[in-house]
Amino acid sequence: MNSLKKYMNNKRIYRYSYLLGIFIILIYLGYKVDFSFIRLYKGLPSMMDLIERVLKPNLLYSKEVIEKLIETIQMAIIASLMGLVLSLPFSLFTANNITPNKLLGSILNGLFSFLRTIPSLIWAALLVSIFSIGKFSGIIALGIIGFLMSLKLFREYIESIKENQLNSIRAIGASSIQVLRYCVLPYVFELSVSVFFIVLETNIRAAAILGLVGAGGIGQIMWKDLNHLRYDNVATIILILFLTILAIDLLSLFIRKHLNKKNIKFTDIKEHKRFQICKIIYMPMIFVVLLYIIFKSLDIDYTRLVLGIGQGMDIIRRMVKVDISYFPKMIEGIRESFFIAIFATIVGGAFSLIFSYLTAYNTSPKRTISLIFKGYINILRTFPPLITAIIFFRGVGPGPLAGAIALSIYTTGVLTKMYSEVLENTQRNIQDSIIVTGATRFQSYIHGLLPHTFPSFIGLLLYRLESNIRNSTILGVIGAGGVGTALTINITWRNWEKVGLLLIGVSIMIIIIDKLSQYLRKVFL
Amino acid sequence: MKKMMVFLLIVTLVIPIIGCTQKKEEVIRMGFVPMKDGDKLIESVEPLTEILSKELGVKVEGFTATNYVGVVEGLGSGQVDFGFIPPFAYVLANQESNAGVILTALNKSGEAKYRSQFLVRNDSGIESFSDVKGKKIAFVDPSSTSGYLFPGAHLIKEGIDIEKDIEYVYAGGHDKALQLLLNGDIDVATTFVDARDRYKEDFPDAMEKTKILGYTDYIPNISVTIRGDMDQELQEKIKNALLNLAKSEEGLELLKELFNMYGFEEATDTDYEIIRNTAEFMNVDLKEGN
Amino acid sequence: MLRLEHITVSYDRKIRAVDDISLEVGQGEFVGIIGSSGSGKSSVLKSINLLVKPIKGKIYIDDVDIMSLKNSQLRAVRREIGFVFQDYNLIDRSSVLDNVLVGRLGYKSSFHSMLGIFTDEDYKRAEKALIQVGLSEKIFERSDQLSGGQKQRVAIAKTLCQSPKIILADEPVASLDVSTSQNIMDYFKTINEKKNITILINLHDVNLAKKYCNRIIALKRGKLLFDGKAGEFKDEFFKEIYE
Repeated sequence: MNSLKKYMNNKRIYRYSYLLGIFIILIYLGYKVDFSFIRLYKGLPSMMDLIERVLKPNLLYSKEVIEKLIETIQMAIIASLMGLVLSLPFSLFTANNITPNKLLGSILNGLFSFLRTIPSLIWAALLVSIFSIGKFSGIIALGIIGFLMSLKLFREYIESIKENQLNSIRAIGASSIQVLRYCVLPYVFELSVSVFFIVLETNIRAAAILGLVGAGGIGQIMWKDLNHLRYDNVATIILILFLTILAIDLLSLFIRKHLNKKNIKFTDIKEHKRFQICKIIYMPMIFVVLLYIIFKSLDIDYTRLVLGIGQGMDIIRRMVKVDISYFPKMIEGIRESFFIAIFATIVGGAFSLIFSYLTAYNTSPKRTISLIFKGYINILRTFPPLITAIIFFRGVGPGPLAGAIALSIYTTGVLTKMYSEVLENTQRNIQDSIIVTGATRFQSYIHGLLPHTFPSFIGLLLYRLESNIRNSTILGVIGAGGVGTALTINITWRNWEKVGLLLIGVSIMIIIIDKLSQYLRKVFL
Repeated sequence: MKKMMVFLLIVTLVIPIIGCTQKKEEVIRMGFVPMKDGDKLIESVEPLTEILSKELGVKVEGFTATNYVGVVEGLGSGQVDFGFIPPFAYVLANQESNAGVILTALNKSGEAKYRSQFLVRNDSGIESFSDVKGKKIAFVDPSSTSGYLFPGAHLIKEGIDIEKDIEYVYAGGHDKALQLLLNGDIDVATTFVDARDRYKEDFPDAMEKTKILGYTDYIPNISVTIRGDMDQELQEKIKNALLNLAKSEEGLELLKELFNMYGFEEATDTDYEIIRNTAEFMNVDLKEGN
Repeated sequence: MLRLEHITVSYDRKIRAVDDISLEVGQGEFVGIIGSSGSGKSSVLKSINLLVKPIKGKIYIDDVDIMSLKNSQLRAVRREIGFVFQDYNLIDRSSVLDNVLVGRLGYKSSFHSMLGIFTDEDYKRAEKALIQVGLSEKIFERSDQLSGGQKQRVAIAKTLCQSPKIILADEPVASLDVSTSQNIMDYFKTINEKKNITILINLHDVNLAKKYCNRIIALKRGKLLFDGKAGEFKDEFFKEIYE
């Protein structure tokens, strides 16, 4: 009896100290990102005023917007295609199980994971310095992101092919090229459509804001309107962007869902054979057409390219000579980014636990509430946090607080969506086993579903942390706190030695957080 | 459930307290956008704020923004108490949050005005503004007075419809506009007078490779703008502190080094009427929504 | 036709998965290899076509020492040895026909196989192989739509398409239910009897081995425990193998 009491007591103490710990961390972080309810409260009227103005979008303006919107979509599509096509051969080199040279493979992997830590907006800012203002720099920046993203997806997928699967082809007497062609390529090709759309979803969001640094697309006119404080025009752009991103997300979801099980049905062997021969003719043709489209949209002439590459080499040479004296400034910026990311992760995590209860249809008190929240969180997660941060400038002024709130909102949106899907996919009987005791749905959530799915929640939360760390480094580009401010200023003023140091610092931070999160996932799950 | 409520109550109570304690110490925040001179990047304004702290008897902190809009929004939200912003940004701040101007800066020759220039490459074949039609122009930034508002207005006066007759980009800086011009990415660059001299270390060949196509009207210099709800007493104190700063040798040296300013002169809102008129002329609608 | 001499396999140079095994298999034999998991059955089988390289010993196929062969020559040997896996290892996303055609790869030049061109002869073989395993109506189906037993039959058709001299089967029925297992074993038996193809098959079910094979080899911890006619295999051995 005594031991039971002790157990209960311990458990209670354990739980409360847990909560208290998180709470203390949150307060500390709140302090670090200049959190203040007073300021938020004071800012409410002006934010309301802004929202009021945003609610009256200047629809006449949409004509001007559409042209830039098309350019934005075009940029995102071209860049995603470019990244995809380029990543195919590299994925064969870097996948551990089929690489012809293990050493080369791991060197490339190291290089690519370093490059992957640099956000698209920073790529764009760097490229604008080299290849001038315009969509060329934007496409290349997004192309790099698309390349690195699809490479990672392909590589992980190829590495998940079982050794026996490869052996089954080798056992036939196939050469290593034949193994690639008949074992790896069928997987990769089918995957490539999915990968293209995953990359496109990311790139369309990124393309929307590249204009902030002059790399083309819709962000360019948004930047002008922000500078002129024309929030009605900004609202028009945001509305149009929202619809576009939503449409692309839905298209992507639809295609990825339905493509999975598609297969061409032949009626006889002759037809199959004819199809094979057609493939030989059409595949290279499609490839050539794609390449043509990509090159066509890169409006740059040869001499300019050479000039740009020359200047780019100079920049890299100067970046390598990092300016160590800038170290304290770098640490200061990185610390702020780090605090913003952690703050947003915890706040977003807390909110998404509540929101998920209301969103998942199997826990939500009412079906209508679930639907309303589904729509609501989809709005939250569609906007790049950078745009949300701009809205919060209004209320709380530029600085880390605006960035932290914006990132928290984004995290809440994404996490709620993912976690409510986890809840919906959980077996019914876990919930039922609580409900049959006469408990309410809320109790079944708190005592049944939540503890049961908590490990997956922690997993998702850690993924969000990784993404938040990346996002927090670019908030500073518009002055919403963190290392991005120093990065933008130094890129603008061509202090490449300092940029070099900052990039290395950011990379190291991101890699450390990634590794830590991977480790924690392994321990917890 | 009850415990949960108590917990939430504590949360809501504690966080404002933290918010308060942190604000206990009164601070005046000075907003600015870092400028570059040669290859020195000035981000740290600490020596300057120290002198100002002594003058005012209140701690002064620098607020670094990446863009003038950052300072404008800072003034509107109370994040920034006073800031150094160009005239166009002042007009926007005044429009948005009733911010007021107290001083304007003086340039090297002691004047409170400057102007901007149109630069072309010597070999471009552009000899007059009528040649500009169909060409590519770099403005500096949509919030820039000397790099967008005045040059744009000038082009309109020359009979060029900037939305139809030319193609334009925002370079993101006066030096960037110059760089684009030298790289041949654009045909005409708009900068202040004379950016080629200011950035000669970065672009040593700018003087010989480019020429001036024309100048804009004179523009009031960078302003010292205070937030709209500041009481008269503090306004006076800040004004005097800055004027005293410019009188001291050490202070003037810092102003020159940090902001390329050579002193201050009192200014009033009417001095900026020309900016409003130009903005209106440029079709920048300042009256939206309000 | 197949001779192993003192074969030793080790994956970490410490523990020997296969420890000094020698055996000889003649044309048309149906050999069942039995043993508990970890006894080295799989390693023996995989070393025969060098999917696993033994650290010691020699392997002769038709009196050719295959360990001394160059890569291209090894491929020529491999194409005459079919290999059936427990987990089928079909290309899930390809059709049944494509999977069976893969069996012809060993006979193709790199160029032709890159383009994916197969001759009429290849198609005929593939079709015939599918008829033999009773799957001709599933020929254009995606292979991930098939049941386990069907997948294994496709895998067998694939090896038939290789025109093999030997078929090695590594626990081909371990993932299948009893009646499907019998069905698959029947196909192996038919192939063995009709085409006179040598079959070496790993089984953990002794009864299946006794029922279908004409020779049984029992392994324990990498060592040979029994090698003889299926009829001679006594129940005492059974205990010893699995204790």
